[in-house]
Amino acid sequence: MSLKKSLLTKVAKSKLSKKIRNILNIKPSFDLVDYNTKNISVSDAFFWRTDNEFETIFKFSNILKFYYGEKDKNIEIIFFDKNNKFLKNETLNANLVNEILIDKNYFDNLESYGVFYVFHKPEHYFDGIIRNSCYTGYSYKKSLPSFVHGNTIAAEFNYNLEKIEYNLGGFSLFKNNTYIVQNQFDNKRTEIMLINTTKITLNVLINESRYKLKSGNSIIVDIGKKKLIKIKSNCYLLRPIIFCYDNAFLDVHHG
Amino acid sequence: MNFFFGIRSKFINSEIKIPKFQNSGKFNQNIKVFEAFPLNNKWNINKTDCDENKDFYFISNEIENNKIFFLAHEHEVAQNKIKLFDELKDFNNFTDTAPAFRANLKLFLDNGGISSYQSEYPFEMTKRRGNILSPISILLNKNAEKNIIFFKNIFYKPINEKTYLYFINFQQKKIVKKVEILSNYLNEIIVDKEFLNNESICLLKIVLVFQCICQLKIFIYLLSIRIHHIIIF
Repeated sequence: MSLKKSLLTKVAKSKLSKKIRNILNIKPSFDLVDYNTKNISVSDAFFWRTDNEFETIFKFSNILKFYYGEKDKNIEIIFFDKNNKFLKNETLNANLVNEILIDKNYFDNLESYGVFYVFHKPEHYFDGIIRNSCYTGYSYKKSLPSFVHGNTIAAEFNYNLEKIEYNLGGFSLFKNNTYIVQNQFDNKRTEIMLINTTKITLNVLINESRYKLKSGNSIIVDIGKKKLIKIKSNCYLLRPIIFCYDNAFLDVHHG
Repeated sequence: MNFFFGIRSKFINSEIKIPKFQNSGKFNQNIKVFEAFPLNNKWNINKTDCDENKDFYFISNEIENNKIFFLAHEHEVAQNKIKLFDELKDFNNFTDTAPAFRANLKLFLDNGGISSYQSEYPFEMTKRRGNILSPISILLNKNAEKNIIFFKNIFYKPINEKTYLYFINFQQKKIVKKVEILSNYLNEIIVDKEFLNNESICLLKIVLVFQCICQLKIFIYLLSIRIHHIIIF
């Protein structure tokens, strides 16, 4: 790679460049992670719910142990409620493969929903960026869970600075972005779950209904029997998690 | 562009829903569905006669394990008159979008139970080679009646190249099972329950381009999981 191309790539990957591109809507970036920085762990915004007889099953591998033979206790999970209020964090003595049951007892009888983030801490300086999109399963009334993987980068743990930065979703101040979920919903009922991964308050239009979603907040919206889902906001990647109810069956997937 | 694929199996039914619109809302009512399959070292390409409405194409009965589907305008495919191709082409950019274009692959059982996956397979992936190395006990379930891995590997040349999928005992660093798989075919691999033990984790290692779906069947339910963890360097 030529020096000029290398420099351009480096500039394009920087946080400042991404912010400028997003404001000007020129090749916008879905996240504001600086990909020139090494030794960081980025996390998707994972969604938990314990409302309405839901339980959440979180499955993940310890990828640093799996691929690099590192020690067990290197995974940190941080939970927030739907209003972005901190609930708890856990540093796990993680095996190669792990499973956590998040039910109402996990949060002292809290029947609600919210977001959590997962970070993998390397033992030594890690010359790269670690992301594990894991698998989050949702069980409704004790049914077998339906799983999705993480689909939106939202936070980073910079181990050089020992600092976490949340709400790294890309956004524009000037343009509303339309996202139509490319699926037709023929089931009895559909809910969507959205997380505002940006640093600004979003005014979100979902089909014909308007919602205000503060930074880091999450929301569940009943779509009813609508066949299409159209979402309009200032966020470049406001993709929902979709819960399709069909009699005794639940199909959860990301949009 | 993207290709799309489905699953034909005695265990499970599938349907692909291909949108006629991009996720930004841009429609293309003139774009059609075509199917391609390898035969005699050529890609045989034909227009697919499937159900449709104003928003989607619905492909179900047309699904075969050696077929792939894609969206194109007739003039893009018929320019050679004879619709035989030496390799897959990047016919158009309608499905090259950011966020990524999606086509829903619905898996379902006759007596109920549904699960959604992504059906799209990017053209660029058909020319790349690589490996998957992943624990399978996180993907499958030892309490299931049956655990199945469906494995689709689209290669741009119209051949059924043979390669292998290995189950490896992670603790012992030892191959415990070797399964032959074909490119340009939907491989169906039934996983022995003995491999679903957290203590002796098994791995998948393949030596071609990949697109992998794992699904498991628990009585009349489906559980769907997609391989998706990445280390970026």
